[in-house]
Amino acid sequence: MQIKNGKDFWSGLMFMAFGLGFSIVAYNNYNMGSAVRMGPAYFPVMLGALLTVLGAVIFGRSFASSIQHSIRVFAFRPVVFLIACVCGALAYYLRGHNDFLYSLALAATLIVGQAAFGTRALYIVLASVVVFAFVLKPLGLLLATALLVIISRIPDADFRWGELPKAVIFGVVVIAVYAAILAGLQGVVGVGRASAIAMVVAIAGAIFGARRVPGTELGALFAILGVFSVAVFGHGLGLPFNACPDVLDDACRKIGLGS
Amino acid sequence: MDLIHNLSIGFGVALTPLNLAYCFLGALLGTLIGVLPGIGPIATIAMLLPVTFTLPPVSALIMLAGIYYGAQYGGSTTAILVNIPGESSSAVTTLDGYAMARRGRAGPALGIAAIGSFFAGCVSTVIIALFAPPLAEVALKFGPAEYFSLMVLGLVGATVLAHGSLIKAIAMTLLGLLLGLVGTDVNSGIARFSFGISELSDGIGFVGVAMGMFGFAEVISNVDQTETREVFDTSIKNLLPTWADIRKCTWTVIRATGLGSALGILPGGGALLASFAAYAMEKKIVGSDGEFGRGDIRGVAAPESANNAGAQTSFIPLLTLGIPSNPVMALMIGAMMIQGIAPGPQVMTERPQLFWGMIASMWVGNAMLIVLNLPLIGLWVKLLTVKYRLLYPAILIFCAIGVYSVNNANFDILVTSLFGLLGFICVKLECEPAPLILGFILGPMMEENLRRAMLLSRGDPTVFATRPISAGLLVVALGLIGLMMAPAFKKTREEAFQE
Repeated sequence: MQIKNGKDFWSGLMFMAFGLGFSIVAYNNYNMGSAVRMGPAYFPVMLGALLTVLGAVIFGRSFASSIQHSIRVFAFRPVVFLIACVCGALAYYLRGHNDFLYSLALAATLIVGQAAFGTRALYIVLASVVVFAFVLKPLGLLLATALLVIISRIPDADFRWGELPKAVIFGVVVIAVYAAILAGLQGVVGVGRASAIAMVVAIAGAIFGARRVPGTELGALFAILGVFSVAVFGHGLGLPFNACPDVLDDACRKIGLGS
Repeated sequence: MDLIHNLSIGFGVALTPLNLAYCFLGALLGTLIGVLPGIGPIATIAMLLPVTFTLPPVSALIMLAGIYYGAQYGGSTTAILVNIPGESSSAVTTLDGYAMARRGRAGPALGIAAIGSFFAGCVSTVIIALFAPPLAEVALKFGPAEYFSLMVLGLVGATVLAHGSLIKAIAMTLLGLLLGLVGTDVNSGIARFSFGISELSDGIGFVGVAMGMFGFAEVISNVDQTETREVFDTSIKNLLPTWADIRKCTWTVIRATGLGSALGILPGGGALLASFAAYAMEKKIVGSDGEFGRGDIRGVAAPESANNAGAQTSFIPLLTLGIPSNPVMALMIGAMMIQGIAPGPQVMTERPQLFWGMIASMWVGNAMLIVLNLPLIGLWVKLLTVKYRLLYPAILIFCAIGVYSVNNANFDILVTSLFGLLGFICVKLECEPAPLILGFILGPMMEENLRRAMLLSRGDPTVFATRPISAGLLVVALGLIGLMMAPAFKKTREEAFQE
């Protein structure tokens, strides 16, 4: 027996795992009921069984397929996956005991788990999103945006570690300009309009600056996205975001950036 | 004439200054996000949902509908000029659209895409107005058995039209149905498959599933490839196609509009399937006369007309049956629920202003879009010259904020990242994500109707075959599967999707 079609092999395994998983969990934990009065387990067990059968067919087909695909469809790393499982167990144990450590373990589980599959672009991009999710509430929208943008750019071909400090300083300056205009104008024209004016000035300034000073593009990018998000989603659409870190909330509220 | 009376009610509503303004806003926003690859109507509508609460119901729905069909217009611009689909439904437009642009005919390609879309938009608006009332009447007779069979037909339709292996597409549908069942079971109140995680008792948010599987997975593969993109902006002078072009495309546009409208009505259809099917059909009909793939104008006209027709007629199952045929329609249901409107056949009789106002607004919106697109093309092109390395962090941010804003929960962002991983794996394994999303949306509804049907028939499964409408729907579904199994059709399908 030789595996001919690696893509069928892995997808067959995946479907069987999902099918069996759903059926077994449903069958063991919920009431099946009867065909007349279906319990919560009835439909999932049926679907799960069907999925398992289809998965088995796809799996079997991979040994007799006329289409050739390598077994290494994506770079699966078993050791990394095991580390993720350990982190997951740790997270499960910490749940309800220590919120901070629990979040940390959960984030580690997700990031390491995603790193077990495939390329740098995959896990770094997804890691940037996971980090964003965890820091959004405690650190606020501006910082979370900056982190997401910087991390997600790491796998890009044009990313240079050496340019990072300069870019960060540039971004902070742009955001400071936005905050200063907002603080100055909000008493005169109201928070909404002040935010819109400050946003336009800050974005125009960032584009102008980034074109003239090399190496500041990344900073301009996160500053523009952060300022845009705060002004449009926060002040404009009224979505409930913290713009600033929790610890600075009082200070931020004074300049119109409070939650 | 009922139709004229109804349409006059509709235009009365759609032409009020307030609704005109929201229609314009929706169409403009739709074009913008359509042009930008990676940011689609799902993320945009998800972000705007909380805001629509403060608007009058008609204005809110008019704006959201405008975003959806506006995105179909915008998507073609990116497909033709940059060779990447601005919207997933303009993916096939890249084949001939980009080839035309390379031959220096970007202008006529953009022109025919807009004209075809406009024609399709007008026709499908009339189709909705003609077909929705009788369908709603039929829908009033629908019991749980009919609903179940209709959803089966929709799922089968989606798998038949998906790319690649049929059996994998069916497996993806089943996986979607199962994932859709996560959360509290309405009958028993038990939180299924939640593993003690309280956030999962409400179920997995479909916005996150859709954005992870499509948005994130696409960003990852684009970053992975680091291909160079080339934008044609110097050669766009003459936007109007020549008479020869128009003569060549007349029947193409009519055929594609018909097919797109039909596929949009089917639950599970919509813009995406319509565009692929129309391109495949056109290639088949024209045969060896055409030069498809090398810049045939019919290869632009067909998918662009069909996706617009499909986008609009996909409102029919939503408005008459309350069944969402794609994630955008599922969000529209959310928008209607926020306003206290339960989607279903009763909407038309109880709220004629809303129903006909929305339909009339589609025609108005299409007229606005053709005006908006052709003269402003330079602006959209400018937008496209932005480098992808600047664009994709923005896509990630907007997707994350869109997902977050549905429940104000960062948990949903984590779920989205997991579905990004699943989407990446599925792409690598050649499993099509579209059937999974549809199964995911329809899962809970299907179970609910299956249970009710079986309860009413006292456990007799023949109820699905003895009730005439239900039996008819199932026969069509079976016929589709049978057709797929037939060797001759199997071959054609493989050829049709070989792009």
